Amino acid sequence: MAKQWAFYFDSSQCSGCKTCQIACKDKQDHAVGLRWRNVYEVAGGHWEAKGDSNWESGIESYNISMSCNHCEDPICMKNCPNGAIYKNEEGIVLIDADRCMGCKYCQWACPYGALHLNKQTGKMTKCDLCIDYLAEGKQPSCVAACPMRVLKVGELSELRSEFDDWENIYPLPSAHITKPSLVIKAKEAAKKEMNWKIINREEVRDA
Amino acid sequence: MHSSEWSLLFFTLIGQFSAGLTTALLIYTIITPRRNDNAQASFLKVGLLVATGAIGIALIISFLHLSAPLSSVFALTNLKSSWLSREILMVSAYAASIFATTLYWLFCKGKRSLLIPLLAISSLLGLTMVLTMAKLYMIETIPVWNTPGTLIAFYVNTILLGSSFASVLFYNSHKDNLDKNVERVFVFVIITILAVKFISGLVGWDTTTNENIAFAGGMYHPIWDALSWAWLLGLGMLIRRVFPNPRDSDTGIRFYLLAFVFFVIAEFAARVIFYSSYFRIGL
Repeated sequence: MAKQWAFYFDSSQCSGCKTCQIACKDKQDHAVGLRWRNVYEVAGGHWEAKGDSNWESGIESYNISMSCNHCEDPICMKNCPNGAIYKNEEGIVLIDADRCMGCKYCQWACPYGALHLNKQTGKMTKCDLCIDYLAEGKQPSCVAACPMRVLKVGELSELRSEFDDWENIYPLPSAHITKPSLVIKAKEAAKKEMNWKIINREEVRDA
Repeated sequence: MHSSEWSLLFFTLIGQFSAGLTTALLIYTIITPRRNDNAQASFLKVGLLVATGAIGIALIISFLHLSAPLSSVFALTNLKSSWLSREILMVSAYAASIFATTLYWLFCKGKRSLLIPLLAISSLLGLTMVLTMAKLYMIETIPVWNTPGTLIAFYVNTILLGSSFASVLFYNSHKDNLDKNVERVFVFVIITILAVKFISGLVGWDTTTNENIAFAGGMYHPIWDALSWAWLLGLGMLIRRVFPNPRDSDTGIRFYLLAFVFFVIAEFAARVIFYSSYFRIGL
């Protein structure tokens, strides 16, 4: 089987500091508003009245650090009319900027919000897994910068065998749609049915 | 609705109108006896020029959506899996075909021997173009668009705008010697397609999904909801034409024109609602 790079993310330990987000922007020298990695803050639950004046918190929260998952069956690549999106021999999904016409069709379709328009160039951009760093034997900037060590990168099959994987964590879609190369350790609370919501919507929205 | 989607709205509406008008011209050419009179020649000439002009305008507008239009030379390189690639192919093929048909009609001095085959090819390409337009929106990750309702809405727009504009042209060019049978065919087609539109609206296509949704669909101003019912006024104009008031004289063109305007308003509003309703599963 061909090599498939993948991310491992431990949501149960992520503090939501967004160092991964900043490290990515710094490495890629992105303009204001362009982020290949976002940290989504998820919260759910409610306060329950206990007696006349006491309230008990049933609020739960967790964070999801998300960029391109270099899917095994990338919906962006399937839909791109220009054939500008391709997978290299190591399973990394890349964009050939010369071929991209900026139609944003890939952005519509991707259920991980991984594709972003670079307004300066008019081309779509996305996480390239710091392919230059990988070639030098270094880790992607987001992984290397994470102070909690909750992000890892590695061979998909090895990460799957090493870590328990919980696919159905809000707000991720079912894995069968694009087969993301992503292994997630979820916080126990995240496995519960709750009224989960993203609470930093304005922050993660493309500027 | 995202500001960059206005160009898509106009592109789809105008492109579909053009395909619908071509189909109406084909139907007219098939059902009318060959007479080589001025009325027929004028109807076909104006109809073909409008259909060609409309797809030309739609093509220009479609480029406004692109951030890097120079790279559109690669747009046909993923026909194997991309409906957008197939759509671009079909729009180009239809535009070339209707342009060739128009040139034939303008320069062949009323010879109709090749007109029906050329119109049939253009109509087939146009209707296939509408299919590719609809299919590109029917993406698995966008449940609100991934329903037969998208396909029906696009074909309703095609036939409704095309045949209602054709009826305006028909009345204007044939008013001195009106063929009631042809007029009835156009009215029948419009009323049938309005019935399809109404029934499709009643069905209320199921857009629920078991998937996680992080960001709900966008909001739109309620005025669009109200305007999307303007087709009822258009229908009223047609009924008024079919059952004329004996005191009125020569009111046909007014009713057909008003009906077309109301249908354009309704379809425009429906398309704004369509684009505004976008949300996808996941993030």
